Amino acid sequence: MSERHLQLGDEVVRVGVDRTGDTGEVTLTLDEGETRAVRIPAAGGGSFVLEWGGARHRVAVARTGQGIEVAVDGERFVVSRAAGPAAAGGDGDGAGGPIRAPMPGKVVELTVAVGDRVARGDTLGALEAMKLRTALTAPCDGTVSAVGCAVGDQVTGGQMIVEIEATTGEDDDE
Amino acid sequence: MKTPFDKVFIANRGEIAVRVARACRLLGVGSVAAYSEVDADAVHVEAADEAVCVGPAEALRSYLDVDAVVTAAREAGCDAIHPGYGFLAENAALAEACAGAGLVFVGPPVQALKLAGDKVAARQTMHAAGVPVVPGTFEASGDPAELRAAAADLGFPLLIKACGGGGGTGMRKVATEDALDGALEEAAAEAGSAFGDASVYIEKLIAPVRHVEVQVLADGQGKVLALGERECSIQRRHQKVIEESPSPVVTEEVRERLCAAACDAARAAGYVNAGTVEFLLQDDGTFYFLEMNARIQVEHPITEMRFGADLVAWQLRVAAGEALDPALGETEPRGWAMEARLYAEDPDLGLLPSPGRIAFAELPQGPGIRVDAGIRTGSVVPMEYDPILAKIIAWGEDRETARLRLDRALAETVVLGVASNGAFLRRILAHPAFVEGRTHTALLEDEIMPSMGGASAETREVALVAAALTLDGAVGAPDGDAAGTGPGGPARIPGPWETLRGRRFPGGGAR
Repeated sequence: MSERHLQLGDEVVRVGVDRTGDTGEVTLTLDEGETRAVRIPAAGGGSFVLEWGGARHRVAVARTGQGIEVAVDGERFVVSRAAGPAAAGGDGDGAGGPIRAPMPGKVVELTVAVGDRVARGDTLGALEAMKLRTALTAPCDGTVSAVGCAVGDQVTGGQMIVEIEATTGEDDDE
Repeated sequence: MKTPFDKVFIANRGEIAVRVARACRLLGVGSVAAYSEVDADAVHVEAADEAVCVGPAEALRSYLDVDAVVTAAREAGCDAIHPGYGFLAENAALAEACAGAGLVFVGPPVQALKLAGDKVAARQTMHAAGVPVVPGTFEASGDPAELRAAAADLGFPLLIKACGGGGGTGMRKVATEDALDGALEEAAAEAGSAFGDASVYIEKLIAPVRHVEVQVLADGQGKVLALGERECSIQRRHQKVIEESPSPVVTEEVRERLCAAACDAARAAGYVNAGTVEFLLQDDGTFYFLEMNARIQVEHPITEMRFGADLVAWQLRVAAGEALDPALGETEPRGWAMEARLYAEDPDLGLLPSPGRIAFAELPQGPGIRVDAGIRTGSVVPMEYDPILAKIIAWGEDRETARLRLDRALAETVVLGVASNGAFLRRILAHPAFVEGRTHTALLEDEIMPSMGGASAETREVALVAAALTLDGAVGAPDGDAAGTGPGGPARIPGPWETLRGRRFPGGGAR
């Protein structure tokens, strides 16, 4: 029996996998749910069919830099390992911290420098990829504490562009 | 059969370059793929007989560089250049450079290209030829007083459009008269900075409306054929997403008028080769000329599926001076065809572009399915170009069969490593308004997208199960790596064969 936490979007799920039986049967338990058998009746060509909860699904899996990517019935999911159950709060809307590139691309505009004060919604810069320009905006009021790139730089998805130290007592002026 | 050319230079990339290479092969014509440095291992490079690097990743210095393209074509010993769509298609400078270099440009004559690219001149020409055009002005103008007077005559709502533009740049909707001055200023400023030409014209805003276009084929002997209509109303940001042929609302009477107008438009423009005449169609059957696309269109396969014609092969034959086969004009189209454009766009991030390396791809098969793809497992999707990965096309005896086949094909489509809009496309196909054929150009953005849900709880659960099994080594993990992989995953990205090596299945002797 192995147990680990997996993250899919905002959700963290504890998954127990048990395949100790002599028959080679694998059972899975998701969070507090019922323990169920999983069957993999057909495989080939890089994808496989997985039977779970009485229904068959065509599935393909690849390990990438983002985690485990899974395709199920035309949907794509990115699953990653989580250290433990989801922590409450975190860097949600309204908090400071690093503003990361939402996609790989080229930095085509940077309008702030370290020390600048910004208000929530202010444009910090813009990225361009595949002929589409995407603006980066401040998620909160605060001060720019770091700038991670320059105009013309190619950045990867998730790379820090700007870091903002949130103004404390952010609700004061509301 | 005499081949139209000895060797054709394909000045494009991705699925359309593969498509052109296939037509060359059909006709026994040699093909040379152009590629940029970032595309050296791209699928289209393999599809052609030869390949030549035309420059660095930046499109302006490679696929959009007329001199580089023409020089490469000459040095490779080609006698024609096919521009595909996008990049240098519809670029009169390329057509002129071809003529200067003794190469045949596979497309319309320079004059027709220039007319199609000049929106105001095209409006004038079509109006004079008796083709209905959207009510509005017929002169480029930079004079606010003149435009105000024209707007007052025309009435509101209206649309301001840049004379030099396209794709929504320099375009403004104006609902009421008091918003006119500001919109005129904005449109002129935007047009001036984007196209170096601040002049605009105005058109009556027609909404709700459908976007319907007619495929035309014309040869150098004066024969012009119309191969039915395509309905392309499912759009996002002026980009077509799903197209179908025929249109669910076009009656035989409207079709005859549409096709006749399209042929008139092609004749008025002096058009030769394959082209598309776009119209706005209202519910009562009234339609207006919108513009002429002087190239092969992305969505040409849905016409091919119904007419059994190879339009790209005809482009090459007509460009070589061959006359159109008269039988082509008498072909009765069969059934219904529908196309979905698979883009590298992330539906979880508001359809942001998703360039990267494709870790695993699986494309659909089956009855009535055609896939024109520019990618495969291992392909790099560069950030420099359009996000189109593949086109999935379905044919059926009727609309519902085509729709169900397309949906099934999209469910089978796998792209991992980069995000794609596959699930988004399936949600459009399942929307009641689409199912019933009640489409119009604002349907996707105004109605379908706001009500679009996410993946079902069941599907998410299956994804977690598959991921857990992978991490556990039950499936899909490379030997010896499954247990020790840290939270960031392996340091390098394994290929799929590597990934799947050593897989063992329950019942089949699990480890």
